[in-house]
Amino acid sequence: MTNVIALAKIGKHVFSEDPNDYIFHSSYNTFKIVLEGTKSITLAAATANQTFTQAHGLGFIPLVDAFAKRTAASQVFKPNGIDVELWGAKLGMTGDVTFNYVQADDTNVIFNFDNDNASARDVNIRYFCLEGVGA
Amino acid sequence: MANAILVARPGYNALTDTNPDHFALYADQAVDYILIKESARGYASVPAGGSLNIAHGLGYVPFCLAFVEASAGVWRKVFSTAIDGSVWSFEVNDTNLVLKGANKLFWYHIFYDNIT
Repeated sequence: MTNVIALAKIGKHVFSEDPNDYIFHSSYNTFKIVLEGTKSITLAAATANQTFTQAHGLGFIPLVDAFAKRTAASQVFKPNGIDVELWGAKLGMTGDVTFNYVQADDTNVIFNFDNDNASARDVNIRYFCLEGVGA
Repeated sequence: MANAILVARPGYNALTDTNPDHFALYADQAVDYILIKESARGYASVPAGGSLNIAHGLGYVPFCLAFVEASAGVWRKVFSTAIDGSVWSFEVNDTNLVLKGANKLFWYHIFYDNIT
């Protein structure tokens, strides 16, 4: 038997052959967050395609993910998502701020938003840099 | 405290801290803070047809991540059908990770973790 370090989930056997039964198993890579941070931005009123950058200092191109929240709201929204402010069966969903995408190059994490509101919007972002592309 | 194996991140006390964000590994007899476990990763070039199946061989729907080279040296996280009108997306079923985006280079991760 190959030597392993394994921690099974509650109620599961540590000799299980199903990877889903483990919290941790040394035979399987666990995905790493190498950097996390926050950034506060102000979206200009009634403007689409607003781009913001944050230097990551990693020296490689990280895989990235991010979450956004307007300072005046409680809900969090993700890239490819809208900050839903009102919803209902007849109303559908409405929101003024769209988080279009998060991406990265070898220098910066890059965030892109639309703001359809007639007022500027303050937004806080929490971002995560994961392992590198091609690593 | 119940029996536990705890590995705290630098600057945090494993004996007193209870915030799971402060641990590289947290396992006790009360909660399962699961670390996702990777099955496969790699590059994939989606052809002009706009879709590429990557067989994962797991027999269930696994958790996956996908990223696309949006422009040279710039990598964007992709989701299901994009609201910004771009055609880069992915979906996963119990047989394949399906990458969508004509003539684009993707980087993907397939995990063992069953999401259904």
